[in-house]
Formats: sequence, C-alpha cells, structure tokens
Amino acid sequence: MTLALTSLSKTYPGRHGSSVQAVRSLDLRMDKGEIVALLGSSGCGKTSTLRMIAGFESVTDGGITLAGRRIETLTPDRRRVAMAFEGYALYPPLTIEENIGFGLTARGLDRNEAAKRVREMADMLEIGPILKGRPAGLSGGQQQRASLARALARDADLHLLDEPMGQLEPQLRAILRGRVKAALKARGLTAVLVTHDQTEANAMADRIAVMEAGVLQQYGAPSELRDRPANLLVATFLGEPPMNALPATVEPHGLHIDDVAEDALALPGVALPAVGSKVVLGIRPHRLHLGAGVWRGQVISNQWLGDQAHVVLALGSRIVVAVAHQRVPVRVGETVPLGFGAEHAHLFDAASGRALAHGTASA
Amino acid sequence: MNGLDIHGLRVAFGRNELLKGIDLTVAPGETLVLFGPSGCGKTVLLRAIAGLEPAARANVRIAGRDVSTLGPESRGLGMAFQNFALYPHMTARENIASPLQARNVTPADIETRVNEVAALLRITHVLGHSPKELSNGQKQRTALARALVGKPKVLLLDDPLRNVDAKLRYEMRLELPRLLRAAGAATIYVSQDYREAMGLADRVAILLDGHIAQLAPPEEIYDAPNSVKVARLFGDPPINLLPCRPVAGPRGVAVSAAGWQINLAVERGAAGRSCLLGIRPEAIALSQSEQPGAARAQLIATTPLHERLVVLLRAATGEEVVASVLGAVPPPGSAVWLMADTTHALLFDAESGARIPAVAQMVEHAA
Amino acid sequence: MARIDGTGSPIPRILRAIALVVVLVFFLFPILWIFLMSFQTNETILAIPPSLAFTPTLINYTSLISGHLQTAAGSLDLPFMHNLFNSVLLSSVSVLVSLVLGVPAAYAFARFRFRLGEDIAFTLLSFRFAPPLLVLLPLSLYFKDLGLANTYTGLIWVYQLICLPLILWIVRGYFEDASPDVEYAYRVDGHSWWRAFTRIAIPLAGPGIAAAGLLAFIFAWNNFVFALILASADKQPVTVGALAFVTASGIQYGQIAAAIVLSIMPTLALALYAQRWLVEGLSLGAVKG
Repeated sequence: MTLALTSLSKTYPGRHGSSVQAVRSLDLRMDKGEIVALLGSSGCGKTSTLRMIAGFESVTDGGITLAGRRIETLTPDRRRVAMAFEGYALYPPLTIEENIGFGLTARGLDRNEAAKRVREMADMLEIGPILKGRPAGLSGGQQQRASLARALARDADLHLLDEPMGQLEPQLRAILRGRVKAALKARGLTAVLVTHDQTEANAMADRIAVMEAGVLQQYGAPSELRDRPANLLVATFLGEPPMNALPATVEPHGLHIDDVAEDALALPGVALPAVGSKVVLGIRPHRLHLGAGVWRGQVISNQWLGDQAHVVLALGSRIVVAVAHQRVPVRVGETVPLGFGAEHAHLFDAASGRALAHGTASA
Repeated sequence: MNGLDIHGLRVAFGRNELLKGIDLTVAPGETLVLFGPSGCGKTVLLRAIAGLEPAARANVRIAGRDVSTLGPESRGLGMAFQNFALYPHMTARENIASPLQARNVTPADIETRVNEVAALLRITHVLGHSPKELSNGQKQRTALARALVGKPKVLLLDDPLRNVDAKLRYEMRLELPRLLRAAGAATIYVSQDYREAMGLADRVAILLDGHIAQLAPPEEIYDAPNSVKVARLFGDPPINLLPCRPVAGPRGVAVSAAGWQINLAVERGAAGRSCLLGIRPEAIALSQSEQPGAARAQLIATTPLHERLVVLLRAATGEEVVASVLGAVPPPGSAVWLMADTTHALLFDAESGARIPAVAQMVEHAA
Repeated sequence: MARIDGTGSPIPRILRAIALVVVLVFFLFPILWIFLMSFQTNETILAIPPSLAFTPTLINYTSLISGHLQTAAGSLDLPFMHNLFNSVLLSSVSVLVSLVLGVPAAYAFARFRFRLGEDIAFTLLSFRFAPPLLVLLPLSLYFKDLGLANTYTGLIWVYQLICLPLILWIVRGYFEDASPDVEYAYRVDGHSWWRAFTRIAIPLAGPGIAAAGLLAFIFAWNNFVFALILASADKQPVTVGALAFVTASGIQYGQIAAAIVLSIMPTLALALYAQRWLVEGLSLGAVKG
C-alpha cells in the first residue's frame, strides 16, 4: 500500500458562520504502481482531496500516509509528490525544456540523465518542436502537455494529475491516454488522476473512486463500477450513453414498469425485493436489443455515429436508448420490438438509489 | 432563398486573415454543424453572421433580406453562447423574456410565450430563479429558451453543450433535433465533438485554415473525407495514417503498410507517390494466432472507451497502430496479428493531404 | 508526529492574538488620542504628564459649530462649517463629474481596441504620478486668466486630476472582467448598444463603480494642496480650513482635534457602509487594472 487516506475531511468556513463540507470522511487505499482516478462532477470534492494530498490545502480532519510516512502536516516540497496542474503553472521565464528539466536537476539528477528524460517525455507527449519555446507563446493544449511532461519526468512517490488532458484536441487525447498509461506502468509509478471525464477515468485508471457531494460513492475497478454499480448515481454517471433507468414496481409475477403498459417482466436470476417495492430498473443501452423482445418501442431517432448506432425509442411515456455496433435498419416513427437479457438487468431502490440486485452477467 | 445565405465572408485581424471568404447556405429547418479544431474561427464566424464582429466583411442574407449593414439587434436571429451568457442580475424568466421585450410584445403575450418555451425545455419550475441558483443544465436550457423564444429565422448555437456534464449533454443531444425541427429555423451549430456533429447535423461544414474544407452529410465526412486533416477530425480514436508508396495494381493500386498488403480501387496516378493509408481503428481486428493477410504487431497498452477497447499497438514494421475493438484482448506485451477490413480504407497524397479519388467503376464493387 | 491544528497547543493562538493587539494599538492609538483630545481644553491637552482622567467638554465642538472661538488673545471667527460644506460640495460634485466622464471612457478602453487607446489610458493615469506642485504654478496662472481662480468650477475641474484616473482604471478592470458575451447576447436579443451598456454593462460593473466612486471621494476629500493654492477662504475645504487653528497666540489643539473628528466622519461612515464593495472592488481592480 502506497497511499492511504484515513477519514479525510475538509470543511471550508462559509458565510455567516456556516461551513461547507467539501470532503466527508474519505477512506481510500491505493497500492504501489496503481493508477486511481477520482471521478465526479464539479464540486464533488475531488479537487479538494487532491490539494490536501499535495499539501496546498490544510486537512480539517483525518490523515494521509504516503509510502509509510504521515504527510498531512508536511509542507508540499517535503511530501515527494509531483503534480500536473489543471492551470498548467509553468514557469513563464523558462523555456519548455527548462520547465521540464528544472525539477530534475534541482533534485540532484545528473544533467545528461535529465536531458534524456526530457527528450523521452517530449517524444511521448509530442512537444519536441516546442521545447525551446516559452509558455506565453503556446496554446493551452501545448502548455498542458508541457505541464504533464514536467510532472511525469520526476521520480516521486506519487504523481498527481489534475484534469491533465482537458485542453487537448480530442484526436490527441485518445492517443496520449494510452501512451501516458503505458509510461506510468513501465516505470511502476503511482498516480492519482482527477477528472470529470468518465472516458478518461475508464481509459487510464486501474481503480476509480466516484465522488459526489464530498462523499465517496464507490471505489473499484472500471469493470466493477460498470457491472455492479453501488447506486443509481454511479450507474448513470458512468457509461455513454448513460444507463436507461425505468421506474418500476415489484409485482407477484415479476416487475411492472411504470407508465409502460406491458405485462409484468419475469427476471430469472434476479432476486426481486418484496412485492409492492418501488424500484428502478437499469439497463445499459448496448444491452438493449432491437428486433426481438417483450417491449414495443416507437423509434424517435436513429443516429449512425461512424462506429455505432444510437437508436432512441419511446416506450410508453418513457424514453430509452439502444446502442448497436452496426447500422440498424429502422426508420423514425416505426414501432419495433425490443428487449434485454435478464442477466444484464440492474435493480435499484427507488427512494435511496442503492443497488438491490444485479443480473447474473455481473457476477 | 428563405434561410441563411452567406457570401464571401472574410475576417482579418490586422494582417492575420482568419476567415478567407466563406460561402454557406442553410435552408429553413436545416441544421448545419460547423466543425473544426479550436482556434479555427468557428466562434468568429458565428459572431460575424450575428453582426458582432467589427472586423468582418460579408454579404449576409436572412430570409432573402440583406442584413449585412445592420446591427446585431436588427438582424432578427437567435443565438446561444458556449458560456451561456445569461444576465446574472435577472431571473430566468426575465432572461428568456429579453428578446420579446426588445420588440414591444405585450406583457400578456410575453408571459404566454415564455411559459410555452419554458415548458418545451422543461424549466418551468426554475423560471423565478436567478442564474447563479441554476444548475449548469438549467442554465444551458435557459440560454436555449432565450434563443428560441423570439421564433427567429436563423439560430446560431455556439457549442451550447460544451460546459455541461456528459449525462446532460447526451440528454440534450437526444432532445435537440426535435426542438430544432419544431423551431424551423436555419440553424448553424458549432461543435467540437464529432459524435454530436454526426447525431445532430443534416450537413457538416468542416472549417480549416480559414476555408470550408468539406461540406457534406456527416456520414460522407466520416466515410469519404476529402483530406487527411478532415479524416483526422472525425473519429475517436482518430484514423490510423500509415506512410506508404503504392504501386500500380490490378484494379487500382497495391499498398504495403504496417505489414499489410492491400489492393485499393483508387486512381492509378497515386502509384509511386508518397502516400498515407487511412484505416479507421474500428476496421482493425485482433487475433492471437496467425491469419492470412494479417500483420504482426506487439500490444503496448489497452484503454477502455465506452463499450470498446482502444488498443495501442506497434506493428512489426515499426508503425504505431490504434485499434478499437469489442471484447477481450490479450495483456500488454503480447504478440498479436492484425486484420484490416479494407472496405473503407482511404488513400491520401502525403504531400498535399488530398484523398486519392476512387476509380469510378469500382464504386459498386466496394459497396 | 506532532499535529499542529486547532486542537493542538494554544501557544500559537496566544502569540497570534498578541501580535494582533500590537498592530491594532499601533494603528488605532493616534485616532483614539485625537478623539480624546477633541473633548479636552488646550490646558489639559498640554498638561505634563498627560492624563487620561479629565472632565470631558464639548466646548471645541460648540465653538466649531457656532463659528466663534474664544482664545486668550481674543475672539476669532471660524468658517469651519462653511469649510465642511465646501468639502462635501467639491468632493461629491467632482466624483459625480468623474463618474459621468470616466465610466463610459473605462468601458471604451475595456471593450474597444482603437488607435492610441493604451496611450491615452496611460496618459490619464500618469496625472496621478505628477507631483501636484508641478502643475499648480502654471495652473494658477491660467486660472487667473480664465477667471477660474477661486471658483467651485475651477476646483472641481482640477479635482478631476485626482478622481478621473482612479475611476477610469478601477472600473476598466471591472468591465474587462465581465464577459462581453453577455452584452452580445443582449444585442442579439434586439436591444440597442446604449441599452446593452446601461442595462447590462453598468449593473454588472456596479460594485466596481461604487468602490471607485467611494475611493475617489475619499481622495478628493483629503486633498490639500490644490485647494490651498487655487482657492481663498470662502471656497476652502476642511483640510485647508484647519490651518486657521494655528493662530498667532498658539495652536488650538482641542479645536483641531474636534475638526479632524468632524471631517473624517463622512468618509468614515461611507467607508464602513460600503466596506464589502470597497475591498472587493479594490482587489479586483488591483488584479485586473
């Protein structure tokens, strides 16, 4: 175990004596060589957590252990962490090359070794041509890559990456995610990635911690979050398009989907709660199949996106989305049968959102 | 012409000519997505159409009326901004009512119209809130309502979904086509997300280096981009571009790249020239055993992308290749064989970047 | 490892409190002393050693307000209340004129790039760099020729040297801080540029305009040199009027103290009332301007 956050809390004083709890009693453990993503929408507490680990924000309560040392009271320079800032934070008077190399030679790395490291980073992040330039003349995307290179060039106990690819062109982002992940793995580095972009978290992290309103919602491998989401919030936050969520009521013979005039659905292998319970049925769009099944949906739109089709259907008064990986020959206005395998169903408590049961495919 | 008609639109800041003569026509009810890398001038183009860009020289006609010399308040268009641009000191209701108030609509009519458009965008319950009390999704809906309330002939939407989270963005992407159809305006929609462009557009205009590089339905842009730059813009992960030097083949040219031997039904003039072979990542399949026609490669890293896996590979011949596959893949470091579906493979001239056109009679075969 | 936070040792907290008290005493003691002096007669003020135990008297205030001062050397007429009126008039009219001229100018500098724009803005700011005495001599000559010497109009004009640059640069920062998109949106809605300026730009820069106006008022109020040279007794503000207490028979410390207390009242009240805007406005102006 490399990083351990124990009951970590952050409270900011608010106006008129009130206070805002940005992070509530967060417990998180990560192993050496692991990449963990803190994922959540803005204001969920992920950035406060990162800043507490880096030492830019005091800890209200709880502790931080890094590589066997308690670090929550140390100044940032003594924590042995490297950070890529969302706002780049490059030193304006230095060239990009000097920006990246500065921290290396300052920490006693030999000049040749440092120069070699800078070149490696420049190649990986495609900033070779701008190494001699200064930050002021560069685009946001270039500065962001320079900032990322500076953080990754260092040997630290922990690398903190704050929205490291937010400003990059989408074309470059897809490639760099793979390269940065491979580089971290090759050097056995441990990294915390803060992002609001689930695609980035999924692409790069070994484990994802989903946060909302300062509370950790679920912590696990991307596949675990996808297949066994702990609650409706995690279920609909992850996945694009988001999970279809249909309010339903448990009946003696199965599940009755509210506002959809169909017979009760039997869900073999899914443990239904007591009859009368209000639940939400969740089905991922690519598990919804067109052409066969118990439901009849009217096609609202059928979009081909180059590598996948998104079909939107009206199901009673509900709207659902189905994704297929080849073109679907249905027209707008047409009524088509659709269905799903019970093994891909997820059930959530309607009031609390807590997961009640998952289909057998999730086991 | 009833919709929007732009002719010879130029914008120069000093010596730097950002837009070098843009011609565009958008029909009523049509959604044209303006697509391009950041900094290419998409926002400036919208501003020029709206009359907000003093450096613009253009001939702009809206519903046949020449508005080129009119101020933004007299052009009669609706606009939504990337940062919402709501009036912070007014309630959502007052924000939405603003275009109507500018036109001496009676208070009773304003009330009715605002309520109508708010119901359409499902923000009736927050009409009394000030912008800072609204969530990002509600802000964005309020901004759209304000653009739609005056029933403008032309709608300019500047990446309105950029600053809302993924879930809301997707919901709006589903809702927008219906809203825009109901509005019936000639719509220009700026986007940086190619999936959004493919989902919303009747036609896509690719803006590059101050020109419209390609203007076509979204599927045509995806399947037949007319240059390397356009090809790279559409697709996530982006298209693989492999250097090659084709030779004349039986029905076009034969290409050897990354270990593949591929016959392409394109014009033979490409033979002997330095070219780039374009293969979409989803057209590449992986196998752990040797297959006929497959290229050897080493798997470097795997990154999940929605339901797919993006696989970064190094071909035995040295090129970096990206594949986007469904299902499981072997661990990093494994040796794999790559099979390419060449139905939609593209060939570009390496120097000019232009796509080598298909041989005319071969088109049926390919389909 | 020792933990240093709210629940730990109280020593740092005590040290902090002591430091705070020292700073407060250093800055507030003179004000307190003046306040106490204003309730004493010259005799108790000049007593050695000074004593905090005295019988408070309102004589200083009554003489200021009635305009008559009885001293050992005889009776003296004091135009103090008239000076106070002059200060109010000069400062508020100057600030109003500066706002009318400066806010639209600040908007122009923030929104439009025009030839020599930066140079003009900088020139206006540079009025603040020049020592007042440098411009005073030529100005007093011009003012005599133009008939502006010893007029309210002339003084208000000169006070623009103080108020206008301040308002221009603070308010400009505020306008630059607001996204022009909000005004663009209002224009596209169908409103004229004038309405966009008055209904959107000005309300959004409101706190900055208030802060700049307030600061300009305080600077104008505290001005001494311009009024000393360019105005005679009946147009002089309190800062100059206070000189009258330095009489042939000695310095009237009690009256001076009372005059100071009275003259800082308006600005103090204004500053306290608008404290929030002032801090917010100044810090933003500092960053942006």
